[in-house]
Amino acid sequence: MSVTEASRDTDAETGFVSAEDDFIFADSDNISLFPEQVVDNLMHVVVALGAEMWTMRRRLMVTEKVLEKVGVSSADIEQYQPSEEDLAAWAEERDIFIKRTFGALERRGGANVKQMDFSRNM
Amino acid sequence: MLTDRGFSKRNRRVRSLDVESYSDFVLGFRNWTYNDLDKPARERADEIMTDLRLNAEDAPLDAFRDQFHDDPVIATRIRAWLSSQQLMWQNVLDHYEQHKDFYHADMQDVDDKGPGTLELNTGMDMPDYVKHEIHIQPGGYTGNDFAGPLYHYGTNTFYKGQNNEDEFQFGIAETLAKPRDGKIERIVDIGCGIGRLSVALAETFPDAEVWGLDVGGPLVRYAHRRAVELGTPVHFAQRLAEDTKFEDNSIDIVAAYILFHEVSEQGAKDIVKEVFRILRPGGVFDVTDFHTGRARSNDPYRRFMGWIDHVYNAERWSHQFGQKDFLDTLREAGFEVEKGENRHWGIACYIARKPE
Repeated sequence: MSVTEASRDTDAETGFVSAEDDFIFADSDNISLFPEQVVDNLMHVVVALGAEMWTMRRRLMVTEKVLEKVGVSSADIEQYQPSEEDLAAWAEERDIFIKRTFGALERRGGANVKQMDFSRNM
Repeated sequence: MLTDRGFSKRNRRVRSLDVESYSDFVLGFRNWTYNDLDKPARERADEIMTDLRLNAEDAPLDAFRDQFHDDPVIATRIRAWLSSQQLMWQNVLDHYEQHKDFYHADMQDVDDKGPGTLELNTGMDMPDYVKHEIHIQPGGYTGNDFAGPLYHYGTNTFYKGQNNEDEFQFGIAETLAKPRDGKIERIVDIGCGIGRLSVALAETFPDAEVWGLDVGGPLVRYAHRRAVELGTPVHFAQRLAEDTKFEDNSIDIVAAYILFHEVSEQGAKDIVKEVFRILRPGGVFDVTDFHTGRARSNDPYRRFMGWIDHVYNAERWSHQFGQKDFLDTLREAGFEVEKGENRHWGIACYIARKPE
């Protein structure tokens, strides 16, 4: 029932965070599958967003189950009649969400950088 | 948020619904990646081979590797896997780092408790073959305090949700090769990791003394914590499989589950030699691992993905392990060997008996 003597004088909190000098780190953050790292980065962000979205949806499903236990059914949620104020506020939120998420698709490139001094040797 | 969410059948549920849900996404996304998203990538590989006019049977990997790697469809397939795996680790690690004070205290609280025991040797020399981030797990098995829960909650997605309650380990325990005389008093699980097989063995053979050894201190620490919670008596120790500290001829059964493909060829030889030493005459070494000694696949895409696994997934030794028939390695140490029935997912079973 005991930790051995060999480890008694070792600080367990720091003892394990002691990767040795010759430890090989995978450096997986810098793996490039595409010619431009930004494409890798963007795709990673897309996957991460998917994970966040599913996490939220799953929480909502759990929430609905919990609400059911206290008498609020899924049907109650489906049948909820929003007020005019609700609808207006939600529409505003929706449009902000759409712009924030998909706005990048409107971009056509060719940035106007004429104001920059290209001859400047920085 | 840190919430005690109770237990599933055998496991403490991670203390955050969101961490669990995030892992659930990774499980589903990974399945999709390995199946649906794999199809267009494989088709592209076939098209590239045709364009290059290469014969799949004799073309060296060098002849098509760069073309595969540079193809955007194949790159998308690999990127999807890589990102999901990185996020899988990061999701769990962020939670444990965020609540590290709680989890450190939680582990310390159990270190001295039973049933079973914990032996940590944090200053011990590590073999070179373990000093890397296997499966790109941050810190690997030895360099991160939370390697145990990271491995547990992370690899449950590898198992596609089919091993959440240690089903595979119980399958091994129930079909474990036994000494012909039936005497089973001491069992050692080498490379035990988080001890899933160790506890399955202890519960399947309640009259036997069961040990779980692993080079990763954080792994055996978590294994002990979990065994205590399950009420299963196992002696966990941070020791090398090639230096177990047991006396000659003192063990009835040694088991190893998916250990050897993570070990260098020399490391594997040293471990097998040590197992032969500690097993009693008539004792059995039961190994569950990948199939070995097969001819190289003629499928270029499969060979390429094997290379990706080696280079990007830090599978340093699995290719080497697959090349030599593991029965030969066992035989060379003096064992009488045979192949057992395949185990879950068709994984191989190697049975080695120490001559009487």
